[in-house]
Amino acid sequence: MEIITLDVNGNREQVLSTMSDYLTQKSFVKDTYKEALLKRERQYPTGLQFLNNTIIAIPHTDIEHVNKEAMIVAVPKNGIKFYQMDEPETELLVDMIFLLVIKDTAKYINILSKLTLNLQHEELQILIKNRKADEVVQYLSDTGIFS
Amino acid sequence: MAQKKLIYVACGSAAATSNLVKSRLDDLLKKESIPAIIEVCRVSELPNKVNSRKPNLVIVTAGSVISVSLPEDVPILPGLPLMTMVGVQSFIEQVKQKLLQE
Repeated sequence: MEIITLDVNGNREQVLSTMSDYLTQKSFVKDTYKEALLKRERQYPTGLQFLNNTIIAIPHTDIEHVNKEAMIVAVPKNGIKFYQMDEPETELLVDMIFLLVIKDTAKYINILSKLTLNLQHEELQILIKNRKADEVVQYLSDTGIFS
Repeated sequence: MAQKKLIYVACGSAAATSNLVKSRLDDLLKKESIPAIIEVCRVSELPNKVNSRKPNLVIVTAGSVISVSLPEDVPILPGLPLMTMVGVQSFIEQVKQKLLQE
């Protein structure tokens, strides 16, 4: 699985579009992906707040739009707000965005499970809050999350 | 053995989030020795599912619990603590309370 780090700019929808366009251009996803991703985020937002005020978003959509697996770890260059998953009226300023582009549901659950467990560790929380995308990817790789 | 409790866990697509919450809830209920059957579904499927077979508890991991309209006697809880582990202890207490109150 290819892991991509990106700096992103703009508001929530612009950022999701930028990431989708990147994935479409590189043939990771089908042309239907962008619209599906935007629609899903509007309907079921994905902002998550962990301990020590570590805030991430895990945008995703159905596996049918995916050709080739990848994960984008994106760092917002300005303040980007996502709505909170269980309180869609609450806006959260996110530190990092984890866009999982997965074809297999079991694998998705596995990565999501490991990601959320690792997010209990202060070391990873600090890397995320300091917007160190490459170091976050290294930390996660070392834990075997992608294997 | 006590009768098994029926729990529905619902998210947007009945794929990732709800299955993760289901597996963590499974472990948690085993530790508490509460026998349960946990089924995942989409939030949009909840009203019909609840109508056809009434669960002891509904857990929602996508969207607000307020936006889901279910019969008043069906307890419903947000499942996010099992994603973020924030407030997980109080979540466990609430689950036990809802499941054991009958």
